[in-house]
Amino acid sequence: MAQHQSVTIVMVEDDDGHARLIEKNIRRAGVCNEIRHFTSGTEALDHLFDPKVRDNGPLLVLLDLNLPDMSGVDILTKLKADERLRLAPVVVLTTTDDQREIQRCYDLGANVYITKPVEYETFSQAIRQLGLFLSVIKIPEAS
Amino acid sequence: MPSHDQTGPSGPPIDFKALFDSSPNPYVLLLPDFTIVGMNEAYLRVTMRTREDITGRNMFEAFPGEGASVEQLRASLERALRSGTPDHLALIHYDIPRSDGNGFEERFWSATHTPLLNAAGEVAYILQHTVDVTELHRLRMAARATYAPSGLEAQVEGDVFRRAQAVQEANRSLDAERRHLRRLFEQAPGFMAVLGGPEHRFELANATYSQLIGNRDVLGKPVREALPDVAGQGFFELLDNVYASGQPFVGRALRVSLRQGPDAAPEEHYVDLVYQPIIGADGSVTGIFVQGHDITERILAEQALQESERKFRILADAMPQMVWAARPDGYHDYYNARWYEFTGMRAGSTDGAEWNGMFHPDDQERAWKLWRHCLATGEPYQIEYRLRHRSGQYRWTLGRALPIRNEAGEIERWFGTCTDISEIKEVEADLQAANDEIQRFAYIVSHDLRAPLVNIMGFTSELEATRATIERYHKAIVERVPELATPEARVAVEEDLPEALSFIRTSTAKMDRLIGAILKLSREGRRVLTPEPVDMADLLAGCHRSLSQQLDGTGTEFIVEEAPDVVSDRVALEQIFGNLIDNAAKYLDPARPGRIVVRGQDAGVYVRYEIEDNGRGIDPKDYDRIFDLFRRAGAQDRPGEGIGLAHVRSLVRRLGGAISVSSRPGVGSTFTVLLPRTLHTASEAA
Repeated sequence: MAQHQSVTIVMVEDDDGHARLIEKNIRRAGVCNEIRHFTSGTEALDHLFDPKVRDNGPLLVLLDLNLPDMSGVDILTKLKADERLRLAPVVVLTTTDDQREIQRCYDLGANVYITKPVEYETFSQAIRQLGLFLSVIKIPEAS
Repeated sequence: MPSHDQTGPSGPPIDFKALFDSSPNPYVLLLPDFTIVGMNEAYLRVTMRTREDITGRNMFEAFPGEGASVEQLRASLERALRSGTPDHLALIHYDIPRSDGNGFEERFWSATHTPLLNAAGEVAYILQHTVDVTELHRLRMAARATYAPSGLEAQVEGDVFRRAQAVQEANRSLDAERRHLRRLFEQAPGFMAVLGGPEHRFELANATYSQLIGNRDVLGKPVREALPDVAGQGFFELLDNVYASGQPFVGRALRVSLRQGPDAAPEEHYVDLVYQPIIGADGSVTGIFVQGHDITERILAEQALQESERKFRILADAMPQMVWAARPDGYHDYYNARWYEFTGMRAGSTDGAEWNGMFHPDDQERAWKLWRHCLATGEPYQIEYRLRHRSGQYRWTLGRALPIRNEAGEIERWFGTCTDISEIKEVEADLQAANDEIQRFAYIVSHDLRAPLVNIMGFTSELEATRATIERYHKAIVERVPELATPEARVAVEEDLPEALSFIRTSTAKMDRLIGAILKLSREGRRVLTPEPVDMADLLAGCHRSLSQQLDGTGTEFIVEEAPDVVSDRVALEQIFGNLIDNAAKYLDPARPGRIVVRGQDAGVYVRYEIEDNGRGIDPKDYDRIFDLFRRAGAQDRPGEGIGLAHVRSLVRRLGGAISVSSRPGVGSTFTVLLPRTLHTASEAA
């Protein structure tokens, strides 16, 4: 699991309940990577653009679109505009299944888009599959 | 007179002068101005004058006649002068002064005027050969008795007969011409009459004239007696005036009241007429020639037209709308007062195609194209554009026009209106803003309501997992340490917890569906409509296909009758008809075989579609309710959230149409959808 340990998961989610459910399901999938949770866009960006974080180690971002201080789309745009952070895979996790919004996220460079269904089994399954996804992908090292 | 001594072809020279003088026939030679330049002895004898007395004098000065005789003689001389050919006067009454100076002696003459031409072919002299036929005339007039012609008389008689023959010939052709003229006179489409004398006695009246006055017998009667009903209308006075003055009268569109019969009510006629004085031989007025046309029908038609035009203008000017008219080629030739008031333009200055310049520059091309298209196709014109107000501001205006066709179906005119809809537009814009806000609101709310639901469902599942753990633990306790087990704990774990969790799940699932419905409606409301030509038969066949399993399973008939095509948003139409047909299929009456009929028909700029079923029907009190969101009617025995019809109504309204329902419970329902034949998105875009 050494390879996996090296990837840090940054979760941007203002709903603590969602954050808890996501974390539980990721752990259930057997993923033990560090998860750093932020409940606002500002906090998350401050952390991500901190040189100690930005320039060190691979990252994976779990991003909710509905945040109190900004739209997740703004965060996505900023990440993809940065030469280092744009390498980090971004998984968009949100409640909408609006095709236009999904398309927009993919256009901006999102790697995966997951709808949070109210149906919990589907949701947990999606998160567990994400865990599986995390266990197989190779995150490019920022050099 | 000049002497012409010449030598004959043989024998001694001929003395023409002596010959001239010795001729028993009277001759007189005149210059073209009728100056007497020579005559023979016979002439002097017959006129009882001397050579000295009349030579060098003008014919009419030397023989001053009276009235018609002078004119007759002068006319004959002038005809000879003008035509260059001999002219005959068969009989002329021309008195000559008595030789004793006591008044005149009555004489009748017969004469031939022969023009003598010079080398240039011009008339140099006129030779009058005249014969005194007074005795002859008197004899004929007296008894027409036979007499024995002899000597001089026989010769005179011979000349007279030749002249008479010539005159008779002329008379025959004159008579034919007279009859021809008479026929023309009789058959002339205009009315004609000849009135004689100061009492204006009818001498002639043609068929048209008789018709005008009700075929009354007027010949020989004076007008005042013949046409008493005309008295007091000024016509007799006009006749008197023409007769007295000799000046013609020309009247246009004169109104005259005439009775068509003795007991008939007076009828109004309008006539154009001319009273032409007839001048007698002596220059005085002898009668009046009446000629004219009955123009009653034309005047009445003109009056009717003027009246209807006057009414139209009053109506058009009283309208709050601007009204205009154009020719089939699109040339605008009429605007009502309201147009000039609104635009502040000078009357007539916007005729032709000038209106286009009054439009906002961004709207000019669009309006022009549509107008030309409508002119070419005859389709009704309808458009919204910004029209320049006299204040200089552009105001939103609704322009509409329809073609008026003649019996042959050709467009005769276009009538159009412009309605100031700037206020409506403002309200519309406000409404649009409010609507947008509601759409955004619905979207945000549905999103934000979902987030807590995710938690409720998520943690409910976690709770279930936890309950499973507790249940296993409870079972272990019951088995191993039964004394710790209580009935309350068992009920809590095995009954109360599952029941509570089940209610939470059912309710959240329902709430999720409702939120989903709101989200769907809000998304539909934001979708951009794209008009395109839609083959409705094809579209309905598609609806049928997607329901075929359900319809075939219940043995339901699906019939499409007429299906007029539209230009509209295909996706919206699919959802509208899909939902309505689906509903019809869903609420069929199981007691009888289902039958669903879709039919459409043209309704002006709209098409009307009916979706008819023989299903269980809808109670009239529910007609409004069924179109409301989350509301349903009748037995709640079919799945559904009460969204379909709300969705359909919202779509129909967005397409610029309307939907209604009529139904008889237990018999069936008919949904009627009215859609614009062509969807215009211009108003939506605002």
